[in-house]
Amino acid sequence: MLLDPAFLAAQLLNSLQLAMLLFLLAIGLSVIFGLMNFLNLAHGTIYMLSAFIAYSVTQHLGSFWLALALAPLAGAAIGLALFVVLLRRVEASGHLVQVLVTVGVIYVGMDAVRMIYGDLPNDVPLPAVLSGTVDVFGLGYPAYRFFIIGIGLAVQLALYFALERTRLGAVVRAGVDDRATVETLGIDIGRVFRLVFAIGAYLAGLAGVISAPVFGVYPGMDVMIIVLVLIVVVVGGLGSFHGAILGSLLIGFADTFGKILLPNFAMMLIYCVMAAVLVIRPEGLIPSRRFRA
Amino acid sequence: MKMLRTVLGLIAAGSLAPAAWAQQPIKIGVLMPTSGVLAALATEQINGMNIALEEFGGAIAGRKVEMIVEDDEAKPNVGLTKARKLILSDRVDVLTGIVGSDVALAVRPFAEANRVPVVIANAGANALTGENCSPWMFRVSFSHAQLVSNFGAWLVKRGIRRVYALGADFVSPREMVEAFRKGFVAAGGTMVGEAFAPYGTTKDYGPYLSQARAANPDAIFAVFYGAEAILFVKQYQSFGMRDKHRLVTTMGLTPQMLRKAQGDAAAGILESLNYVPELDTPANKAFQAVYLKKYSALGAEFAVMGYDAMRFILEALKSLNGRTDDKAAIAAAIRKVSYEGPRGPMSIDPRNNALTQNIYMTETVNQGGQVVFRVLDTVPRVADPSEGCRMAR
Repeated sequence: MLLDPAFLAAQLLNSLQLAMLLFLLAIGLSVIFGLMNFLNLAHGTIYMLSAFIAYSVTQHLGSFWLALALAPLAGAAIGLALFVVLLRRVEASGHLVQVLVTVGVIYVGMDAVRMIYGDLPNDVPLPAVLSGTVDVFGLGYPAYRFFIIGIGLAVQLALYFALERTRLGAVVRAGVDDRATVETLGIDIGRVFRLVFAIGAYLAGLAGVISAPVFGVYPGMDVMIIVLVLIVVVVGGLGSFHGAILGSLLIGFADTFGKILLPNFAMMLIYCVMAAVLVIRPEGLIPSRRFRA
Repeated sequence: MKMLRTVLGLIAAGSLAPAAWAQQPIKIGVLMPTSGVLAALATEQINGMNIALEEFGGAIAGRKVEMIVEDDEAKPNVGLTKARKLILSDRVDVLTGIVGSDVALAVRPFAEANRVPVVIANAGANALTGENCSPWMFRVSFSHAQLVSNFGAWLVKRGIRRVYALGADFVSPREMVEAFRKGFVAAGGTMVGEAFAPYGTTKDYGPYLSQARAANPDAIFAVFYGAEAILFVKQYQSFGMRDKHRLVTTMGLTPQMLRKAQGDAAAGILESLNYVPELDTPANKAFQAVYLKKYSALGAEFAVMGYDAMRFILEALKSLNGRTDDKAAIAAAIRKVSYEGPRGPMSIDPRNNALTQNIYMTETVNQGGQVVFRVLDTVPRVADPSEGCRMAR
């Protein structure tokens, strides 16, 4: 079965598609943790809220593309507001307090969407241009899934240039490795934090919008995805761009091929991958310099 | 002499005064998951129950009928606690509702020990009318096996010979697939594969769909519920498999409450069901008219099953003239109820206390942007094939 090129290609594409979505969420979570030493479990809430905003936009304005433009911006605004109003205050209180507060945010977010949208799942229709299939070795593969992969690759490319070639990128990388020194150099680290938080939230929002037509929009979608995202961050290595890419690819492929090859262990396989990585490289595959043992 | 007269007088007074039970309202306990993800389903069931209650004027033989609803949260331990409360402190005469099969299994021994009849309005596990059947427990909803036992043979007749099964990985889809396989293979069909996706955590069905397609089946028998049902049919549609690998299913994949979210993806599916709102019978039209007037919506299968659960109880109590002191008599009366309901002819099979009902072979069609059911065939009076019931009376 694996030798059938059409089947193999479809499963490779399925893996890539999942990896791209996971990457969009993982990169924000990872860099925020690396830079600020802040574990933001409410990252998934921003993903969910953006998906609901995208749902409202498509319902009332009838355009997926408008939703694609607006909802991630709304996600960034929500993320920034959350950071300035609440999360910044517990930044220095240690991981336990951070986890308690952000889990609280998860519950508030879930009940808020329940109150506004109800319990039933909602749907964002596929944009008409992308609702067809593309021929891959004689079998149709959904065009929209290519679009998700394309967006993921574009974001990876853009982030790579931003981190490696811009001044801000240099500050962020330096901040992850040694925050104290960056501050001594007279750089306003608070401003950098807010910017990074907003960009991370924007990408989580982007993941929410582009996943909505495939994975649906419903209360609880945030908790469902955040577990996988945390695994990606742990496997890839904290605070690292390359780690987030490698981790999301690894988990995307393990999850997809686990479902086909070991259907009875599908749930377990990703945890096995995580356990194996932790045994061999406890700090993750490609951690940023600060987290290297 | 005077003594004798006094004694006789006392006896006469005793026989003339109404018995204690007759002065109290009849109480019916309802266990429903009114909070959480099943809340919408629970609301529909309670709506249906209210319609039945109104048909009887809210009273039986002059005794007011009271419904006491408790939230079982779809959890067996909570369900048992609430059943205790209903039976011991509210002193209900009959218990009904129950969406989760595990809740039904938890409540059964307690209801049995306290001699309270239970009428299940939803829970579908085969065991409830199979090895875990009880003379005190009736099921007027369906069993998984009953829904699909005739489906395979019908599909074979339509030229579907190779089927791949996909479902969420828990009891109910597995029972459906197993019961489907039995009938389908017996009729000469071939199962070309199956896969069960982790329940509650699977978001991407792409890998499963790609794998099913590789086995080149004529049809995919799919059993998913709630949010997963939406994701599944939409992702199935996006893979463009409709023409070569049809979707066939039973209850749960495209219920009324998911229609809006599923849109056109819910069309073109063959479904073996115990009810569709489009049934063209006087009893069904009357029910839908009342439901529409009262709740401004179409009453789906859950509403009708709630209606039938309440109607079975009320018909039984009516045949007893509102007497509720002898609970065994209530159970015996429920067993004898039969009527023509929205679903068609309704009666209880005395072998396992399960409902005998029509099963409808249907197809979903997109009619001007609205997905509706078209009834293609009716299998009349299908008994519940669940095995292993030995009823000690």
